[in-house]
Amino acid sequence: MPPQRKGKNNNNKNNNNNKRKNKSSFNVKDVFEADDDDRSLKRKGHDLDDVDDYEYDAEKGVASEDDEEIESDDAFNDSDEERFEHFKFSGSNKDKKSKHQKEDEDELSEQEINMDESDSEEEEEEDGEGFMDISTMLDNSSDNEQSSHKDALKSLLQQESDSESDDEALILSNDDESDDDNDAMDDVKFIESLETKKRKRDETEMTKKRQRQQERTEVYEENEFNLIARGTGDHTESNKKKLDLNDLMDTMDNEGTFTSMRKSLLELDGKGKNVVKSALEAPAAKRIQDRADRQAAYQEANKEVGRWEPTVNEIRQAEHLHFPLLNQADYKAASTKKNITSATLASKFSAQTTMEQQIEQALSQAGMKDEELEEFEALQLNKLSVDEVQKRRQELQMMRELMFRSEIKAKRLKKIKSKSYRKLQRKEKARQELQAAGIGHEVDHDMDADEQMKAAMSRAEERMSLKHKNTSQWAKRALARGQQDEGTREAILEQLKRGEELRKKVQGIDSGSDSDYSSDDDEEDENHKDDITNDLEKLQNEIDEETQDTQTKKGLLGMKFMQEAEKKKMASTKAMVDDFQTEWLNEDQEEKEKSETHNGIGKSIQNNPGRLTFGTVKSKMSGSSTTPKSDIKINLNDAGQIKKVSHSAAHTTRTSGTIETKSALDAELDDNDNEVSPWLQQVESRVKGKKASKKHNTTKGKIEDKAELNIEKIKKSRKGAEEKPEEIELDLSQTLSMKDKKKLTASIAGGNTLTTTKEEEEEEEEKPQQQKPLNKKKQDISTVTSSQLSDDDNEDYSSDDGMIHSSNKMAFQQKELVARAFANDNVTQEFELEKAATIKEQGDQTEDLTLPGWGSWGGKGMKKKKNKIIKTNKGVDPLKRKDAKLKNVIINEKRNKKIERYEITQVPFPFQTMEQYERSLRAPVGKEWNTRDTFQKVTKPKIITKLGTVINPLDAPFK
Amino acid sequence: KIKALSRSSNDYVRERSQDLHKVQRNLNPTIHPFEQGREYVRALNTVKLERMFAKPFVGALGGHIDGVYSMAKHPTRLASMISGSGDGEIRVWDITDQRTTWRANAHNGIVQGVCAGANDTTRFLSCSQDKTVKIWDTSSGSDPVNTYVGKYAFMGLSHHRKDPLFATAGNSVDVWDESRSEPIHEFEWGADSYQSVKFNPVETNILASTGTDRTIVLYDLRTSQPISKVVMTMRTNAIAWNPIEAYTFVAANEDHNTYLFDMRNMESAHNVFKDHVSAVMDVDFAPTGQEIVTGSYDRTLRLYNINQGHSRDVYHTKRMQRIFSVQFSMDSKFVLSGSDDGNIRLWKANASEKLGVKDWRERHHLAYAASLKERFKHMDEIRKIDRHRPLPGDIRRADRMKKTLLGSEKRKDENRRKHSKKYDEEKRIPERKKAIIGVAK
Repeated sequence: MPPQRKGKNNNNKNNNNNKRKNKSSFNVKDVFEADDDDRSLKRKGHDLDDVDDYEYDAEKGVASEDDEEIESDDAFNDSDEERFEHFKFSGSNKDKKSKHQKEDEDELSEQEINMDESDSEEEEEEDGEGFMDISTMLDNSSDNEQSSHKDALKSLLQQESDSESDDEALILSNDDESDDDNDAMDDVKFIESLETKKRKRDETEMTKKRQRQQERTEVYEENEFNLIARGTGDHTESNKKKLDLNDLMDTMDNEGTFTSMRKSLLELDGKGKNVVKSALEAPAAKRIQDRADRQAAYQEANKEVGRWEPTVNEIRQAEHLHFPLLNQADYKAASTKKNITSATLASKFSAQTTMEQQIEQALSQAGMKDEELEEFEALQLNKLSVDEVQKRRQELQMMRELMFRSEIKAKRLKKIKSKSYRKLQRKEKARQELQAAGIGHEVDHDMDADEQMKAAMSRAEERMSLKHKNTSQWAKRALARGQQDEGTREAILEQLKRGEELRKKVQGIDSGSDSDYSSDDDEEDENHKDDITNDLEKLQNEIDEETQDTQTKKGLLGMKFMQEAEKKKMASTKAMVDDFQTEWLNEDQEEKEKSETHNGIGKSIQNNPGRLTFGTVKSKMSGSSTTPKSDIKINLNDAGQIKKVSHSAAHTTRTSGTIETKSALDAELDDNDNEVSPWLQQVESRVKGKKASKKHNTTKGKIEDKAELNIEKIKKSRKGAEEKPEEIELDLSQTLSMKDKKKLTASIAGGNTLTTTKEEEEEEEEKPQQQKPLNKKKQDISTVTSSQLSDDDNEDYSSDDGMIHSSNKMAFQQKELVARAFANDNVTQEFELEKAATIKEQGDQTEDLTLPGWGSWGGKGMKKKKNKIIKTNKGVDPLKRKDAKLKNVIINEKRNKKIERYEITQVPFPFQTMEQYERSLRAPVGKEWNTRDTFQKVTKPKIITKLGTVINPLDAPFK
Repeated sequence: KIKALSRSSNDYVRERSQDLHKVQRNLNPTIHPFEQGREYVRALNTVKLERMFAKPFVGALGGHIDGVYSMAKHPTRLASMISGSGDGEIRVWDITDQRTTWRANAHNGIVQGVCAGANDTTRFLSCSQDKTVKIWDTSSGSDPVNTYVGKYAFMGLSHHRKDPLFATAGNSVDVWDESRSEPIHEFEWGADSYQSVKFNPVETNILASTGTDRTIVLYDLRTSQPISKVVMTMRTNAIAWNPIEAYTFVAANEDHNTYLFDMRNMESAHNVFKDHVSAVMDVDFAPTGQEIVTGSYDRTLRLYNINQGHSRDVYHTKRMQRIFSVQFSMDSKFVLSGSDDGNIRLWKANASEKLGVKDWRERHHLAYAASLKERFKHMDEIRKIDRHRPLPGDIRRADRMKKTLLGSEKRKDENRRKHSKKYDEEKRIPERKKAIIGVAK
C-alpha cells in the first residue's frame, strides 16, 4: 500500500474517533435536553460547543438559582438523576429510574444507527472524485447479520424522514411550536418558513435556527400523531426529527395485543432479551484486506476488459483484415450504403416529379393503392363470421398443403432414374389396364409363343443380371434413404422376393407355391431337349447325306484336296455331334433315372449344407420300413458330410437329426479334400474352425444334451489315441449310426451298410473293453432320444413341406466347376515365385565392371582372373524386408528418389489427415484455372494495410 | 491470299458499359495441364525471388553520441520519432529525410524513457536517471515545458493515451497528473525497483509494470490498485500491449524468450516466442496486432507472427550492437531499432517488399505469389529456402549451443522418466508454463 493511502486511512480512523467522541458527548446532552426543558431555555442564544455548554450551563444554572433554599427532592432534579442513576439513594423512586433507563437505551440505539450513517457518509466523501469505491465492490461479508438487519430496518423506518430535507424538518419544528388547533396559523407559518428559507444556507445558520425552534413553550400530549421533536443542537443533520422505531413503539406500550409484535420488532432492531449484543469484529489485517481488495479489483478489471472479447474474437477469426479497422459508426455508415433493397426504397418512396404525382393520383382515384386494397380486403373479411373465416382459411391451407405434397411427390418420382423402377411402373400400369379391361390373370396362360419367348428371355436376363438383388446402386440408395416412399419400398420388396425365388431355384429349393412353376420349367426343359434331339438327328442325316453326295460335286469343289478337306470337316462335325450326344443326352437320361429313384424322398444331396431339413426324410425312414436302399446308403456313407452338417451355423440345434443324412457326392468331395483348390478349402476350413465352438453344446435341448453327453464321453475316451478333431467327428458319426444300425439292420440288410457297419464294429472293438457296456447303454439312450427327436421333427416339419429341400445337381456342379476351372492355376506357387523375384530385384545388385578382354588371356593353363571389379548396389536386405515374415504379402520397397522431393513425411500442423492436406493442394489458384473473381478471392491476403496510413489502436466504445 | 493478323475492335470492346467483359483467355483445362506441378514451380520461384530481394535495411539514423536506450514513435505522425540517448540527449527525427529535426541535451543521466503526449502533436515526455521527468515541446525551443522531480531515478515512462496522465517506473510505479508536481498514485508491490511501465492503449485505465523481482504487475487506475502480479523465473525487461486486443500483451524476458499473455489468465502464457540467443531487451507490437518485433542483447532483432512460436525473420548488421529499444512504425511497414552503438536503424517489416506504390497487376501478382507460397510452404524444398537466413557466426554458434543444452536437458528428463517411477509420475510442464512461477493475488 502506498504511503499516501495509509495516511488517508489514518485520517479516516481519526475522523471516526472524533465523531464518535462528539456523538457520545452529544448524546449525554441529548438526554438532558430531552428531559429538561428549563435548561435549554436558559441556553437560548448560545452557540458554544455542546459539552462545554452543558457544563457551563450547569454551573450557570446553579448560579442563577444560587442561594435559595432548595428542597431535597427538588435539589435532586432530573438531570442529577440522570447523572447519578447508577448510584443508589435511599428513598429514590424506582419507577422513575426505570423509565429513564428505558429512554436512555432508546437514545443509545438511535445514536448507534446514526453513527453508522455518518460513517458511510464520510467514506463517500473521501472516496469521491471519480474513483471507484471498493467497498461497494466488496460484498459486505464482514458485517454480521444483525447489522444488516438493522440497516434494513433503519432504512425502512427512516425512509420518510430521510427523504425529507432539513427544511421540512424545520417545518415540523414549527408545527411543534404552534398550537394544534390553530391550523390557519400553521399554514401561515409554513409559508413563512418557505419564504424565509434560503437555498444556500450555511449549516451553522441552520443549526442556530433549529436550536431556536427547539424551544417549547407549551406542553402538549404526546401521541403517535403528535411526535416530540427529539434532540437539539448543531449535530442534528441526520438524527433529529426523524421518525424512529421507538416513536412508533412507544405508542403501543400499553396495548397488550402489540407486545409480541413489539418484541419481534425489538429483536429485529438488535435489542430485546433474546438478542446478544456483540462487539464489532476487528478489521482484517492490512495485508489480507489489501489482497481482498486486489482480487475484487482484478475481477472487476477482468470483467471490464472481457467486454472486448467479442470484438477480439471477431478480429481473430476474420478472414481478411483491412487496416485501419472500422469502428461501429463506420460500420453502420458502410452497411447502410450497401443495404439498399427495393423494399426499403419502396417504403420510403414519395412522389416527387409531376408524373409520379399524377400516377399516384390516378391510382388513388381508382382505389388501387396498396393501403386501400388492404382495407377493402379487411372489410370483406369483416362481413364474415370468425368461424367462417377460420374454416375458409383452413380449407385453403389444406388445399395448399395437398397441392404442395403432390407436387413434391411428383417431383421425387420424376427424379427416379432407375430403369427397373420404371419397368415396374410400366408393368403396374399395364396390369391395371388389363384389370380395367377385365381380363385378369388368364391371359398368362394364353400367351402366344412370342410372348412366352419374351418372358423367358426376360427371366433369363433377370437371372444373369443382379437386378433381383438389392445390391444395385438404386436399391442401395433407396435402402440408405430409408425407403421413405411406398413405391420404392414395394419395388425393393418385390425385387427381394424375386431374388429369393431365383435363389431357391438355383439351390433346388422348391417352395410349395412355386411347384407348378418349376414343373412347368421341367416340361419346358424336356421340350427343349426333344427339340435338340430332333435337331441333332436332322444334322446327322444331313451329314450322312453330304457324305453320300460328295461324288457328285464338280469344279473346284470337285477337286480332290478340296473334297478331302470337306471330308475332314464333316468327320469333325460328326464327331462333335456324337460327342454331344453321348455327353449330354446320356446325361439327361441318367438324370432322369436318378430323379426317378430319388423322387420318393426328395433330394437330400446338398451343396448348401445350411439349407437342409431332414425331418421328413427321417420321418419317412422311421415311419415306413420300406425305405429305399439308396437312402440308407446315403445315410451311412461318409463322415465328412456329417461334420459339416452338424457344425454348420444354421443347424446347431438339431445335431442328432442331421447326422443321418449324407451325400455321395459330398463324400467324393471330402475324399478330394487335399486336392481341392483354395476356393473350396476355405469353406472346409471354416467348417473345421467351427467345430471347436462351444455353442454347439449350449444351444441344444435336454434330449440332445444326453446324446451329446455320450458323444463327449466317447470322445474323451478316445482322445488319448486320436488327437485329430476330424476323427473325433468320425467317431461321433459312428456312435450315432449305431442306433441306425440297430434299427435298420432289422429291416434291411444292404451290402453296403453291412460293410460299413462292420467296419465300425471293428473299430469299436479296438476301443478298450471296459467302455463297451457303457457305450451300449448310451446307445440305447441315444436311440430312444433320436427316435423321439425324429417324431418331434415329424411334427415340426410335416406341416410345412415347403421347407423340404430337394437337391439340385446344377448347384453342385457349379462348385465343382469352380474347382475344375482353377485346377491348374497354381496361384500360390506363382505368387511365391513372384515374391522371390521381387526380393531379388529389390535386393543387392552386383555388377561386374571389369572390362572384357582386359588382362584375360586365352589359352591352356590360364588361371582365372582374380581381381574382378564388382560393384554392388545396395538394396533391401531380404531379411529386413517388411514382408519378410508375411507369407502371403508382397510389400514393394522400391523407392523413387525423384518423387521424394515432393513428399512430406508428416501431416503439417493445421491439417489432421493426409487426405485433408492433399485436398488443400488439389485445386489450383492461378488465373489459368480460375475466373478472375475466384482468383482474386482466393489470393486475397489476410491483412491489408494502406501504405502511409496510421493504424490507430482500437477506441473504447468500439462496438 | 496472304494471312495477316487482324484484330477487330468488336472482339474486345464492349458496346455498353453494362456489358460483361469478354474472357480473353481460354479456360479449357486441357490446354492448361499439370496445374499442380506448375504452381509448385511458381511457388518455388517466388520463395527464391523473395530471398533474393530480401534487403530489409533501409537506413541508419546517426547522430547520438551514446547508445540509444529509449525510443518512441509519434502516435499520429508516421515520419516522426523520438529517441533518448545514454548521455541525456534527446532527438526528434524525420524518418523520411533521415535527419534530426529537434534536439536537446535534456538530462544529466541516461534517458530511460521517452513517450509522446496525449492529444497533442508537439509535446512529448522524457524521464531519466537524474530523477526528473520533463515535458518538451518541439515547437517551443529546447527548454522543457515542465519538469517533475522525483525521489529516485526513473527507469520507465508511459503516457495515458487520452488523459493528461503519465506513469513512471522507479522504486515504485507512480502515476502523475501533468498538472501536479506530485504523483497522484504510488504503487508498490514487493519489488525494489521497476524497469518499465506501459499503459494499455485500448483499455486505457490499465497499466502494467515489470519489476526487478521478476514480476509483471497490472494496475487499474479506476480502483487505484495493483490488481495482479505474475512471477516468472527471470526478469521481464519490457512489455507491449496489443493495440487491437484489449487484454493481451507481450513480455520480453531475460530468458531469451518473449511471452504472450492474456491479462485475465496469467497462469500460463498464450504463446512463447523463441529463437533469440540472449536476453530480449525490448518488444513492440505492430499496429495491426498481428506481429511483434523484439530487440535483443544478441545484436539481432526478430519479427514474429503472434500465432507462431518462431521468428518470421531476423535482422542484423555487422555494425549493429546490442539493441535496447525497438519500435514498429504506425503503418506497420517499418521497424526501428536503437542500439548501443548510437545509431537508430530503419528496417522494412517485410524484408523483400517493394517500397512505394504498386500497380494493380503487380499487387495481384504478389498476392498470387504469396498465396502459392502459403499453399506449398510445407514442401521440403520451399520450406528450406524460405527459412534460410544467413546469421553471424557467433549467433549461429550460440544457437547451436543453446539447442544442445536444451536438448540434453530434455533428454535427461526423459531418461529420468523412463527409469524412475517417481519422476515419471510427475506432470510434464508445458513450455508455456515453464517460465511462470505463479500468479500472486
